[in-house]
Amino acid sequence: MIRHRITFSKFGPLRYISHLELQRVWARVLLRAGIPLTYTQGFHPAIKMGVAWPLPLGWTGKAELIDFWFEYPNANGETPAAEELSARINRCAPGGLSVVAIRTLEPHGHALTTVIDTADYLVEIDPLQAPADLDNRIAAILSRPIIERTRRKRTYDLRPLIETISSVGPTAFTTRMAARDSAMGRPDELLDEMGFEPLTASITRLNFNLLPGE
Amino acid sequence: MKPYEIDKHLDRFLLKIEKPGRYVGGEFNAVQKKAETVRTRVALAFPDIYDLGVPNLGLAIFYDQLNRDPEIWAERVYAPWIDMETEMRERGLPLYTLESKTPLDKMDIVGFTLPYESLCTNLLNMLDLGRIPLFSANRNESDPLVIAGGHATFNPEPMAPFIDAFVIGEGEEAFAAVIRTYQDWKDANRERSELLRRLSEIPGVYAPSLYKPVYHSDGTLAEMTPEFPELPKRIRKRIVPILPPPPEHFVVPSIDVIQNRVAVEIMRGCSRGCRFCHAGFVTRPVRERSVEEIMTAIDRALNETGYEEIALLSLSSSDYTRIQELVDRLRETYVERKLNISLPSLRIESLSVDIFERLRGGRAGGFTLAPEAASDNVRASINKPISQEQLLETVEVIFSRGYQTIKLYFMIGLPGETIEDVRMIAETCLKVIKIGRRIHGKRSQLNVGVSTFVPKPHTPFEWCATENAEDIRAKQAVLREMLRTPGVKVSWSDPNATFFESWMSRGDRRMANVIYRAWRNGAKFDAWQDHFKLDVWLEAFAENGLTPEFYAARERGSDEIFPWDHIDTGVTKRTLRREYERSRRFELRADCREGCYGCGVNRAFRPIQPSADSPRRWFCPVIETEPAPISEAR
Repeated sequence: MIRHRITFSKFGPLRYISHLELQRVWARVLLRAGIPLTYTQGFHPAIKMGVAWPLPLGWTGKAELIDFWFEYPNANGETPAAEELSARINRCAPGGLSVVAIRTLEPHGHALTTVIDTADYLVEIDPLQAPADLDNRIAAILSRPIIERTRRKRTYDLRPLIETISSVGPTAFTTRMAARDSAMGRPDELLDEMGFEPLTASITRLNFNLLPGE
Repeated sequence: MKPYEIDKHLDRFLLKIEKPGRYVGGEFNAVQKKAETVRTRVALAFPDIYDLGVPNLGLAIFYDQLNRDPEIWAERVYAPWIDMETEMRERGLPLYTLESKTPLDKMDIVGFTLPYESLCTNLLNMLDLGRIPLFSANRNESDPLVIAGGHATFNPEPMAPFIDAFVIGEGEEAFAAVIRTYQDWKDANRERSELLRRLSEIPGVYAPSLYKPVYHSDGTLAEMTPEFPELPKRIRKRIVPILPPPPEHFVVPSIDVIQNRVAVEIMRGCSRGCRFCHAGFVTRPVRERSVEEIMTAIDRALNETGYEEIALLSLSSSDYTRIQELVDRLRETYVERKLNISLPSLRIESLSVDIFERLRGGRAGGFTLAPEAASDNVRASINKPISQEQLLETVEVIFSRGYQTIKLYFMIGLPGETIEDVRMIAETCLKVIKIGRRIHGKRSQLNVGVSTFVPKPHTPFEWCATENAEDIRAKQAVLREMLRTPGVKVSWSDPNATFFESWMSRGDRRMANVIYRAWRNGAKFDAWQDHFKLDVWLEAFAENGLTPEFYAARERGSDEIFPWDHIDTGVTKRTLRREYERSRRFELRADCREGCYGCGVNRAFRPIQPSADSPRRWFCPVIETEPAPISEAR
């Protein structure tokens, strides 16, 4: 049994597939690819997988992460190389799902969500709403000591969840936000705080940053 | 609107929509081609939402088959749900195909499937959203050809003015022929009327505008007059003499739909002759696939889809000749894999329990049986003779093998049925749950599904009236009262929905204006109980000077000409009438594999019937000599 950490992109039509549905999509992709999967023990065995933080519906993911345990070496003693696995998976994937990289890990290491520290996002504001003062708004946000917001009836401080914001031209910026359990920065919340309509922006999660040594 | 504009537009609002994944395409096995390299672009249209449309086997067959031809690009389109429709209309977004986001009116051919009648208003809505003129008469050379098929089109008349051509019966060969004819016509740059005439030369294709109904003063049909002498008086359904191999590629949806499974048809047609069963009469003759072919198809489909569920489809699984062999092979092959294999329509006998258990590999679940009736009289009348002993014996076996839940399907409102007959349904159910309690105590569960009978065209009951809503409600009340006991759950169909199904399936061409008015006044998704609007329909009838009772609630005369009589299923009207009369005398008719009673189907398809020694022979006797010509006044 080998644990594989797959880096993949989720884009185009697959942006509209929910986190839960994506897990079933993955299961079918791997079954189609003929990869021997590890199942959980118990009365209702399920494919063993370790997921990262959900990507909200409609957002693009450039380097999402998911862990699977493959039964390699297989009965013939073969363990395919990462490139071959990537190619096989990509052949069996629906539009909008594409493997970027695969690395192998020791089977019983930390769960994915416990090793993710932050995530980087690219936020592109609808050009029709093009703001003249994006840099000012960024500076204003960063200068506030506390940004109190309410999300799902819970009050929280957005400010410590923002690590960086830097503009990329007049209608886009990148931001690094916390991506830890109970400390999840959301760029759509940030957009709203900056006075932009979040639904008309296009948001891309560029990558996760893992804790040192992971 | 150009495809890329539609794509861009969607991104602006899809997040506000429920299940946006329905509207974006990109599924595994969805076919992409270059529009410039194909000759004919076809939209396969299902007039209900994506979730119900993707699992539809009929469209999956055509999608696979048509896309093998490099000259054809078949794409898919489903009915948008109400929230999506509202956004599309507000934003001026046309209905588009999922693969290329092309507006529907830019297609060459739009092919609808109508598996049941309650989808008719959705079909109109899709044409409207696709900016295709609703009435065939208003379309010109630049509009797509609109065709339709499916079980509901065995009575095409209510939809006749909206559809350019119907493909009656099985489309595996006919669809391709329609496309070839379309290509030739398009290359020749001729008028639309000529296209319809050419299409009507294809066996099984019915171009309704070339036929004019003439009515008696009482509103019944006098005759259907072909516009040209060379047109056939009756349109014989199309069949394939040998079932072609099952589809090789299935579109695998990325969102969750109702059935995430591989469906493989093991057999088409049924020899049982249950007199209420539309499918049983219109899909004759019985044709089986070989075990080998089925196993190959399943294996390929599982590998290609990644599904872990298989459904083996037929009207009567137990009648598949090699059912034991098939089940054994499936068990051998897939016992190690975590597969869920479903085999619907098993006969009510203990052998079925063995089959079911072998397939399930011990995974408990529910068990479904369909006795339909509980009294001897009704059973004889519908020709589904399952004795109560047989049912209770089977139930005993099911419960004692560890299953705790049984589902039984019954039908009420059958011809000649009395309140006493309905009481017997309840009594039977009480006996069933008693067995369950004896074996499992309070954990035993009986779910009873009680549907209401609708007399369908092309069946022996086509002369019958649908029972009126009050009587149905009274019968339902009896069941509700008698089955008020722990462990029994009863569900039934809404009498209004039954009424609706009845007039829709039995209508004539004048019904088309009722459908049109109802749609204009807001009827759609009629199959969805929350969305069915009876008042809108009744108003539409009134506006057209028609009544639903004329279609639904009238016992029809023995010599009445029906709006669907010019559609020939191969089974003669004489056979149907004979069966109806037997039904009224409570006379059974044995499975026709045990003795042909000359329903007419082998005579109708004599030229293409495989010989008696062919491995793919039908169960019908082969008529060797040319019979004396009989004048068949249907």
